[in-house]
Amino acid sequence: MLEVREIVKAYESQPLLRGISFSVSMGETVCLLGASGSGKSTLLRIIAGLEQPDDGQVLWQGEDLAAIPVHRRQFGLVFQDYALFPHRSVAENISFGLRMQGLAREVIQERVAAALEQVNMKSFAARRVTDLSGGEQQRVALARALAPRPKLLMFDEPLGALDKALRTQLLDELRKLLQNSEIPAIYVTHDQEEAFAIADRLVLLHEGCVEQEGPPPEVYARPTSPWAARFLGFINLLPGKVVSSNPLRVETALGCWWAGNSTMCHIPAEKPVTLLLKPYGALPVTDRSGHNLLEGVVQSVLFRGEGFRVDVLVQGQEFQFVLNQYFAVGQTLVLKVAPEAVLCLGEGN
Amino acid sequence: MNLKNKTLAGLILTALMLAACSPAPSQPTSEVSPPIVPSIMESKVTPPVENKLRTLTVMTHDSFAVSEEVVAEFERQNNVKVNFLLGGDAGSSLNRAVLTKASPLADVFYGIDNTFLSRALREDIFEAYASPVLKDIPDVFKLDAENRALPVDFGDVCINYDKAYFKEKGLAVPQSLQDLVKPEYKGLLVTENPAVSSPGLAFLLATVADSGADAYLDFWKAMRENGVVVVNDWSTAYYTNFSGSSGKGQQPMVVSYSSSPVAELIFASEPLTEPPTASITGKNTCFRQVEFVGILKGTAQRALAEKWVDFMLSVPFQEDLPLQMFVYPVNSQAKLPEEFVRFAQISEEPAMLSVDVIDKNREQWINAWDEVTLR
Amino acid sequence: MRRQNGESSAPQTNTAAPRLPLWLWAAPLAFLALFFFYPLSAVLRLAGETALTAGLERIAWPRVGGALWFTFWQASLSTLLTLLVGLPAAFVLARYRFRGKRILSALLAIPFILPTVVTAAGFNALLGPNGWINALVIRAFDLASPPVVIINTLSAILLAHIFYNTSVVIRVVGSSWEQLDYRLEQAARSLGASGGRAFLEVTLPLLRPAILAAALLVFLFDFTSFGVILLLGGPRFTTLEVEIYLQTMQFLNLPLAGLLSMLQLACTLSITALYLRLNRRQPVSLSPRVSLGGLWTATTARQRMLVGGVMLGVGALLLKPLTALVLRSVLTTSPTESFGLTLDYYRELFVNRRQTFFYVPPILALRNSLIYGAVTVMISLGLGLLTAFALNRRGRFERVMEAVLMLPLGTSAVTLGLGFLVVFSRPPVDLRSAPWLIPAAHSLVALPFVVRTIQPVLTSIPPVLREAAAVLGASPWRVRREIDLPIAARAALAGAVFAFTISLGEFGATSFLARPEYPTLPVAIFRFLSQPGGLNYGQAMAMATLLMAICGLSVLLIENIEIG
Repeated sequence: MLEVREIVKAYESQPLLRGISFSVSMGETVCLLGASGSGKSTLLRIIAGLEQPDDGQVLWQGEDLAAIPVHRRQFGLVFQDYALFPHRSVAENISFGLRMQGLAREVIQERVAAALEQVNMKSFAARRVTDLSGGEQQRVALARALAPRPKLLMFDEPLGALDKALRTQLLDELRKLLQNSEIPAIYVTHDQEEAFAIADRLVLLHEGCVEQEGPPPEVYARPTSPWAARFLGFINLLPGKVVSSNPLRVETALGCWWAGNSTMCHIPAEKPVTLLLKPYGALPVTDRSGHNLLEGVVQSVLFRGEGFRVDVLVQGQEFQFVLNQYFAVGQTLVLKVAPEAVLCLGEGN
Repeated sequence: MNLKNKTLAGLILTALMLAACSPAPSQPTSEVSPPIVPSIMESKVTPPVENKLRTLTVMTHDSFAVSEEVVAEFERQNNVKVNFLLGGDAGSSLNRAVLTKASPLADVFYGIDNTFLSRALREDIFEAYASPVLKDIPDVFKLDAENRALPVDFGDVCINYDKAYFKEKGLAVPQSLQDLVKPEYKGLLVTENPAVSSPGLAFLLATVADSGADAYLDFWKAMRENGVVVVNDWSTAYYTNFSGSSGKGQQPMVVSYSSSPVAELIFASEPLTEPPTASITGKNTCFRQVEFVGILKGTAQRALAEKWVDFMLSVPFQEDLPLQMFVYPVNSQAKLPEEFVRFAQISEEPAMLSVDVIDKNREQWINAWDEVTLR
Repeated sequence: MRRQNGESSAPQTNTAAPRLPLWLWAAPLAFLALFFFYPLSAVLRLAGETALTAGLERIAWPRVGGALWFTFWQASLSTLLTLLVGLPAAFVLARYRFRGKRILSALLAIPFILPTVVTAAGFNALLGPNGWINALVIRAFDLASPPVVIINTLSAILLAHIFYNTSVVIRVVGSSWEQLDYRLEQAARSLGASGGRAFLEVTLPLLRPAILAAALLVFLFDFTSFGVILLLGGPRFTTLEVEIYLQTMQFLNLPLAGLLSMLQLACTLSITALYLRLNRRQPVSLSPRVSLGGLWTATTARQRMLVGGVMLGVGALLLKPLTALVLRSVLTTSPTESFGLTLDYYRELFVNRRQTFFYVPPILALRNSLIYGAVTVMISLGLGLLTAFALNRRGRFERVMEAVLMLPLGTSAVTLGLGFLVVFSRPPVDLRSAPWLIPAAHSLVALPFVVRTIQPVLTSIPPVLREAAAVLGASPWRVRREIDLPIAARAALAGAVFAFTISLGEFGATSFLARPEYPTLPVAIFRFLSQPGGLNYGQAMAMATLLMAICGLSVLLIENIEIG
């Protein structure tokens, strides 16, 4: 449906987007995930037609949208601060897009009611938007974007201003809503939990490029770069140098490691790489010989239901694992990480 | 806008439109004169008359006044519509005529007086016209030998005083200008700035005529020390400072016109038997202003303009003058209205200066006066 | 203001969304060219030509310098004092809800429209040597001479300027203050700022654009002040404008008048440039608080003191001279000094006793005044909206235009009036047959006011609202209609009030251009005041009272057109 091709955009000669390509297909929710300043909002604005790219194309069903101004694209956009019209009531906000389409009064009334119903705001129709709470405003913004039945829905950090509980609840509702509709959606966020919850596919943006792309489990299982790993919340990263490529052996400051997975097909010897140690792959051992071993002092222990999250300080570097038994803080601990839980990221730090 | 207020706005608009479209308020039916105020709508729908209605435009100062029926009579006789362009006092209305002489706005200009006559003649804005009516006008008023500017009326700029004040204080009314510097009159006179006001200028000229061009500044120095009050315009002087007017001001003497007492009588808020004020009409205490009319150069309607000039000099108009503008007719055939005969004073020996002397020195006299009296 | 993270603060300039074409300028520019630059250049050319033939020896330089200096400092002082009086009033009116507020705010608009002759009469009735204040003090302390001497002093000029322009401050700053989110100030208070501190650090900086705009308007008004200086200041005070009038209309010294006009223009330009410089900091986008809820009711004794005190003070200053006029219109004065109540003056207005040709029926004057006012509102509001929209794009051209727009306000009315006479004296535009020239001239003065009131509100609209509308399918024009217009409507109404009152009270251009067939209320008042007699004076006061009543009523009506 939507295809974004080689989008380039610079601000005051600082490159912001350096050739971004991705696509969204029918019924799919794509999440653009990236840190602040990665250009993801700008990308959204370019797709919406609010800004022009310096280079590249936005295509809808193969047709270039460059000549189509924003108001004719029929895309929906939920803004970060909702951008509700302060001079209009809830119902008037929602009917705005419908009026722009020149629909009949009855149709508008019907669709506004339906949209309000969809976001559980039925009783709020006549209220002033300035009197609403953040969550209510968010729902109105969503209803406003949905009501004109856009060809594509876009969300720009829609839950950023809300507290955690509300965010979880709304996220849940939003996911159901998007799953039940055929409308393709692009969701921009910097929060990976939000992204995992809502996305059919993730697009990781970093320094103006697509860093990685794929369904959330896949991306989470195999981040392709130390940056991606760190961004996805992994902290156990260990730089090293390849000793042999098959089987994969890596020499690090913390000894020799066997890696069961790699993001690359072929890794030449001597190449600097980074190892990602998955938090679930470690077992406490007493034997201090062999490979894949970490010896350190317990820094903190946190009971997390599925196990204990243990922070271990190893030669000045902190690692974090989920273990199924309790350790006291200050205790020395030896851990062996299974090679299957060691992922070799194909580049140095 | 909600519905209620839409209605409100609609009402306002409608009211405005109605106001705009309604015909001019009708005149009292007893009058024979045609409606004097053609509304905008009316002028558009006037059907073309057989011989097209011509328009004569008369430019004048904003104190110009005339009776409706007098104008109507002229319009009827000549099948013409007379338009008046009013604005400014004597000096500034003349300057408007001068500044637009390249493409004159009017056919006739009325209202220039002897203090500015030379400027008009020098700027060459008038066409000469020896009206046959001039024979009824004494030669003393005919200040332009070439008849480019023809005299219409005259008036004396005099000091008016508050009769009640002088009576109450047992104070003698000053008899000459020189009396004014006496200590008993300290702070009792208000006059107008000659740079701005026409009576102010006239009074300055009276003092020049009285004291002489070399001594008038000394007179004003003495006046300043004796607390003369100077304001910019006649309205302020008369209504704010003068104690004899409704303004109930502080000064019992004001520079105004010799006819002002009559106006006080006629426009009294309650009927009076005699005016509350009077003029000082001693030798040289008043300055005589003569007002002129002239045909503006470049008029396309010379014949009609001549008719108007004749009309202004002739008896009906001349007799209308006193009660409309509170000036005296120059035409010796014109009779004065009763109020004028009874109460209006006229100076036997008014101060006069030749128009050329005035023209040559006006600016310099004013500036020197300004230095001495105000700075 | 409510930006969470750096992302959205990525530069949002040149958004492709609602960009409006440059030809928005066409109408305002054409208007200015025809009614401002054309007449002005004609006069200056005339002056130049005369200077070539007559030379410049009639120019008294020290006099020019003196006038320039006095013009500057009296305008600066007047502006400062007007702000001091107007800001507290603007605050109370914008923040508090109290009984009689609507009426009071309509009454406060009246001084702005009064012709100077009438104001002078009002001041005199109140503060003159025989005015009520002096009369009271003399009676109370048995004094020989009036203790308060104000008429024909600098104080009279300053007082009159405050009297005239306080409503400008109230309206311009007030409409901004109303839109200001008071929660910002509360936030500052909760962070430990004292009330004064919160005002200085939060409210004042946010109001800065509006205060600067008001100061500029007031300054230019005072800078070109004419009637006040002439009638209340007296002959000792000369401003550039008075000097231009004297040189043009009395001495016919065109070279000097032209020079003075150019000087005045240059000053206006510099002042406006200074204003624009001070105001250059990118205006902060505030989410406009459109709902007028959230007004405070004075509850504590201190608040009551504040509201009551400010309103009484400003009310006394602005309304007392008005009351004096109204009283004068129903009191008979006779030589016996006994005062009686009467409606004679009003009755007499409707009678053409002397059957004079120039009798002005009050209804006709009223009708003309209202028509001129309505047309002025239409012209200046239409052009003002276009201009304000056009100015929303911040380019070099726009900055220049912003200064150019203010020029008419700071240009000599005498010069401009003369220009009208010179250039509109022949077809196609002949002032003898084009009564609409008068509202056009009024609009010239009203336009800067309208633009200055609307534009700050437009710039304060967050761009994201327009983008949201565009995404929802609104074309650039539709965005203006659906977003900008409704949000700016309140400011537009304030602008409309300005335009209407400017037109209603304007006397100079009207008397200069008007044909006697279309007299307005101020013209009628002036005619009465130029003849002696108690009846004339009384009728002038009656007509002035009528003018004030109409002004108050119209403002009340315009302001109560509710939006949203």
